[in-house]
Amino acid sequence: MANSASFSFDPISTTAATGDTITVDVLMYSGSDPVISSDVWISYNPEILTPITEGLLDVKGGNFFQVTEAKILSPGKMYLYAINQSPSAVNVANGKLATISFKARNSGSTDLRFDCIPFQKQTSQIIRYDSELSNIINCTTTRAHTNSITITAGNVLGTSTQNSYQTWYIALAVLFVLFTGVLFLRYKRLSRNLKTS
Amino acid sequence: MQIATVQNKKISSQQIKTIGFIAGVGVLIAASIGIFFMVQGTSTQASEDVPQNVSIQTRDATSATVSWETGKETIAVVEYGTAADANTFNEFAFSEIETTTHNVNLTSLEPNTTYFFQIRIGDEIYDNGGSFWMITTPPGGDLEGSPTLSPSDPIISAPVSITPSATISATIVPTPSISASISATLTPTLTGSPTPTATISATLSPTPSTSSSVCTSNNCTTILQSLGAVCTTQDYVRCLLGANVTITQGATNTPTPTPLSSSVKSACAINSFQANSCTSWIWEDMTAKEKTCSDVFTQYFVQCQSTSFESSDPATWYCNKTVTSNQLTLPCDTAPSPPPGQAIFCRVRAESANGGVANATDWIYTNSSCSTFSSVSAVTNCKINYLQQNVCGSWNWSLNNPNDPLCTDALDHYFLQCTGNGLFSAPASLTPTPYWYCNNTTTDRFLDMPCDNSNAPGDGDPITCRVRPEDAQGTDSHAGDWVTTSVVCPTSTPTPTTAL
Repeated sequence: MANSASFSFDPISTTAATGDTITVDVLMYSGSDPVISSDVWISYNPEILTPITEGLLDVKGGNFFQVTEAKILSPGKMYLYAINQSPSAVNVANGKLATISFKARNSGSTDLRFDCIPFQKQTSQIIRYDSELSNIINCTTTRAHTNSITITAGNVLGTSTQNSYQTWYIALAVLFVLFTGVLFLRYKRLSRNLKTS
Repeated sequence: MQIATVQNKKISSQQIKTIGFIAGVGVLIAASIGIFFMVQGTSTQASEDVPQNVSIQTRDATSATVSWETGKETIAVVEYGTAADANTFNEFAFSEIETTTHNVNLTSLEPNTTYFFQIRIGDEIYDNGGSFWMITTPPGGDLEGSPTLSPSDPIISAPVSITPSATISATIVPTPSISASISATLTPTLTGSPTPTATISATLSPTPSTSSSVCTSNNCTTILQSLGAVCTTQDYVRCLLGANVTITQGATNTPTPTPLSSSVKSACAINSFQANSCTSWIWEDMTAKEKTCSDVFTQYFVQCQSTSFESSDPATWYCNKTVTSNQLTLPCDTAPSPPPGQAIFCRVRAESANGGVANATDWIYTNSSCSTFSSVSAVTNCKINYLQQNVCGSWNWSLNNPNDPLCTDALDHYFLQCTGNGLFSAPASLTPTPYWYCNNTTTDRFLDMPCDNSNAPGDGDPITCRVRPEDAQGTDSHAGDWVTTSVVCPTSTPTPTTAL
């Protein structure tokens, strides 16, 4: 009797080379429930994948909703939303919600995952068109649907980056060694002068 | 003396330069240390979210409680699975309010299984240093490890009688604070012990779990622009449809329930409710009715006690809970097991997710009583000792000790079945069904055929009989084990005249 409205990815696994474009469909299943809107939160490893366009204006919507947009609000988190602004357009939604694309940035493995945890501020939702606008998503089912992505080293290598903390500490260490060296040389020269005089 | 003075001047000049370098390095190091501690300070603030004193309490074979404390009030989620791999943690449970003292119940666990879990607070995950915390549930049916309820234990489970006068009142203050007060008089009745009375009252204020994602704008365009930040599409659609968006709570939204119409309640009423035994109950499933019923009524509320629901006599409660299945086995949770001979009165109704009488079908009642003989069926004296044929169609049997008062108290009669082919699957009607010779109950320990108007075995006919002791109800769960004997009637047997 429990509802099982959920999101999933198609395909469920992808292998690509660095520099390749990875295209994934986001599917929705609402059973027999009419859906008026949905919020989709997708996590990915930003070191390995980069959304194909910042702002994701080229997200391709499916046929269920009048508006389909996406945003990148923080690294590694994609927010995708779909809305039917006219209740007359509301229908059951079993199929493709949107198509999203990433560029394979670095080699490695990562999963595309739906964030779906009750009571969290940024969580996936499927809103049924009823008097209560109920969120009918089954988070357990949704969270089980992942897309496993493996990126192999290709001809077009992505830029290797280090995070800001590492850069900062390496720079600090180099500076410290430099000053210590100068200090040592100054003392050595001072000692020599003392001996000479 | 003069030379020394010159030397002092030279040394001082170089020292000044050196001291300048030392000071430069010192400032640089101090600045680095300052920045380091600024970063550390940020971490310290974040550390208030870190779970402290994580403890696990296994409540029974299928549930456990995870408890921990945080430095500030948070809503937390326990993510768990059976492998020590966070990628497989597909189950989760959560604390429903922001608090510093968390108690999260994990339910529907598998008995005798080790679970690994991590704690998620906001976007942070705490996994016990990568090794995860572990829970191992006890074997199924083993309630020995169940903790005893203490006055401070927040979980109250059956057997508890909630008097009809119990009241629940709530006042919802406009966003974001919600205050509620709950008071109830609980009268738990424990078999063999005095009837204690306890009054429990609680005031909850506020329940901030609903306020963290409040979208406060009434401007639909503003909401649309805030999607993904503080607003959800639910807020936007609610705005478009003209509702007040300030009550929106994202995924946790629980609007004021609308009482169900009487026509829906009537159409979806539970029409059958039966006991397979005094501990096994089953009722009509909503999924077997029209779809509206299964859409609206998603759970059942079941109550079972030792006296009729019309009675005002003190009752022992065996169940008082909400379930999603249309079957139930007594006792529920930590309620006592009904003793042999105990009458059990149960009632069940279907409810919507909101629960309460306004959102439920009418009660349907039934009752049963517990077996008296099956309770002693394992006692050696009360088992069938032998079943034998004296002459063709004349059978007798006995218990190992038919005079044992334990057996005689529980025993009401014996049930004997005899067929020509050893099959007992369709004994509904003796005549003219062939091969059936007997299907009778008797208080004696012998029986001569023909039974009623059925056929009697003839010379040379094979005959198989089985007998079992039963109590007054005589169902499978109210009887001892069958004992079966097969023979072939000898030829030219005289008609039996005397019973043993």
